[in-house]
Amino acid sequence: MSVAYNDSLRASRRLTGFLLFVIGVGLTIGLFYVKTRARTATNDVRTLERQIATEQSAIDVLHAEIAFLGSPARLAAIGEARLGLAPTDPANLVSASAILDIPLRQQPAPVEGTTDE
Amino acid sequence: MSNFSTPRLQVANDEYDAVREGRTRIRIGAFMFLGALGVAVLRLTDIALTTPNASASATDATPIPARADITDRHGELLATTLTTHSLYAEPARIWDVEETAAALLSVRPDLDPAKLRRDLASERYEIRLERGLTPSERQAVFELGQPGLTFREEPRRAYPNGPLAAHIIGYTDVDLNGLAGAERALDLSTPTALSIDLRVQHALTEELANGLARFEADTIAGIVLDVKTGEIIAMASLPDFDPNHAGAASTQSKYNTAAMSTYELGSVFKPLTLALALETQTSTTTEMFPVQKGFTIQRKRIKDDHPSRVPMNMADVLAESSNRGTALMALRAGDDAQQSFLADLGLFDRVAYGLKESARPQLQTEWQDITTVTVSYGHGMSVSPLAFIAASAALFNDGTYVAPTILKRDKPEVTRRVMSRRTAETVQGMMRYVVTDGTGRKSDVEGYGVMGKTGTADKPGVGGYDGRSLVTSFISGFPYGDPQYALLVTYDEPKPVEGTHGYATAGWNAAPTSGAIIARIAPLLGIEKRPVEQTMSPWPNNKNAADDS
Repeated sequence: MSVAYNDSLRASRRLTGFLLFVIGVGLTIGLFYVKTRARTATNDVRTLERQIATEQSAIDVLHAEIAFLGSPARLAAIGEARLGLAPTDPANLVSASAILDIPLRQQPAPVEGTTDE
Repeated sequence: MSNFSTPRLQVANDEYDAVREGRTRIRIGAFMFLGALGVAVLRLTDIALTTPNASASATDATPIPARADITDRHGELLATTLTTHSLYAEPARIWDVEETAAALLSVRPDLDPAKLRRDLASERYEIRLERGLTPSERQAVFELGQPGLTFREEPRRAYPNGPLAAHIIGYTDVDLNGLAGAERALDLSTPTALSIDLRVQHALTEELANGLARFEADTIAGIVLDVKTGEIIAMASLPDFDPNHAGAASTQSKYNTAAMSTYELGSVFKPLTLALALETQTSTTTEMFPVQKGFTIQRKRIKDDHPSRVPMNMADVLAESSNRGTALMALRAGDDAQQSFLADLGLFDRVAYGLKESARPQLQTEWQDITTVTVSYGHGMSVSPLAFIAASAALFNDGTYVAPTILKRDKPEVTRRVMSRRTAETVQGMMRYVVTDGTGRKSDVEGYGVMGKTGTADKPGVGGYDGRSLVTSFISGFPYGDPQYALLVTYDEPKPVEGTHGYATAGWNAAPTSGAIIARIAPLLGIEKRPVEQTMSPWPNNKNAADDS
């Protein structure tokens, strides 16, 4: 009886040890796999960040170009050279209240023979 | 069966030790194997769980802009940080210096050929050849296919509007350390909106440039101020410079004359003296001042440029720019009241408007009666144009002084009442009279109710004032009735030119330049043009004043 018990105990210890070993190796392989995935993801993030930085840099350049192209001095020079534009002369401006003094156009007389009905 | 079931009994006693030793060795072996396995598992765990340092630092290398953008009040970009490329050479990898130099010079002709060959042949591991290449310039060098030429990304400040508002924006060195203007004074960790309006800045700068060229002056400065909020809408000093190439600019062109130069500004001080006289109730608007009589104080004879034969009231004292009239008013008010009044207007201190470029005023060490008299018409103390327009803006802001600022803001931060609303409105009326009937007529813009005052001062020379070198100014506010903006134009050494009849005084240069500026900026600023009949003058029937101050 005691011999049988000892054999059974030994076998169960061996099985437990083996299972623990398998679990340990499995967990390690799993961790390594997860870590590899994580590292790949990190590399992807880094690549994306580099792309974002590149795009941001390009956007900054475009903003600067827009500011340059829309610079008042440049627009004034182009407007004058190509369209003959000049700064507004205040004499050509009319105040809002003065608009009321401008007479309204006469309503055109209705043409005979036509009707809305 | 029994033999099989009792194997231990078959082991002879004399073999027991050997068997036990063998078991011990097996245990030791197993223990060592497990130990090695444990180490391997731990190492695997370590590799699996921990992150190598190299990848961490690479992740942190995401570029962060060192300096944020600067914009005008409407969000127009004034300064930004761009990524540029610096060109480096690794001389050890260059196989033919002559070929590399020739190829490089074909696409970068500005490089110094002798220095380039010297650099390419040097013993150093790496040497920088050029900074600030644009992407297309970098590509051109890259396409040469020359070994030993490398690139490195470096940030660089760019100013898309070139010289426009250069003195306000400032500039940095190659390492992006701020050296002047907003670049130097402001914390640019986040985007910052300045108070200036780029369109108004352009109009101001263009008209100042026209004036500088026409009147052959040394320098010219102009400032537009929002009298309600104290915001500097535009500020320009000419000559100016391109901050994209600040290193190549002269010291004079980089000088912010509007805020850093101090002048005896002359008769533009007179409206302040009138306000002092009214505020202290030592003079009245209807009183007649005996300006036709000679006036001497501490053996100095006070002269009027346009002497009158009859006494004048306060409005005509201003319109005719009578030194004797303002001297009488200042003496009555007293030196203590005058000093207190000018101090309240911020004229005794450096103007703290947000930039470091701000001059301290130059004051007399001892304030005597003669000082009171000369300061009443703008001599005897030197202030910067910026300090002066901030003080004068109180006249246009119903008597409340507002500290000027270069930053956009909705309401003023520092305010103090320095005179009553009634005093301010009375002086506004007299300044309107100066423009409709006095020395400032050339500044009038129909429908915008310009109020103003001319000022012409001799520049100090060796042994006294130099009568040939003038500083001419025009302080103005608009529109009359509800002033929104103040403008100051200051010429340094303008010359008489064709059409000015030999004059180089403010009425002939600073006043018309101010009128031209107001004509351009008032519509931009949304000031509604008013019918002519509403631009009232409180003294419409006075005789016309002389041509200048």
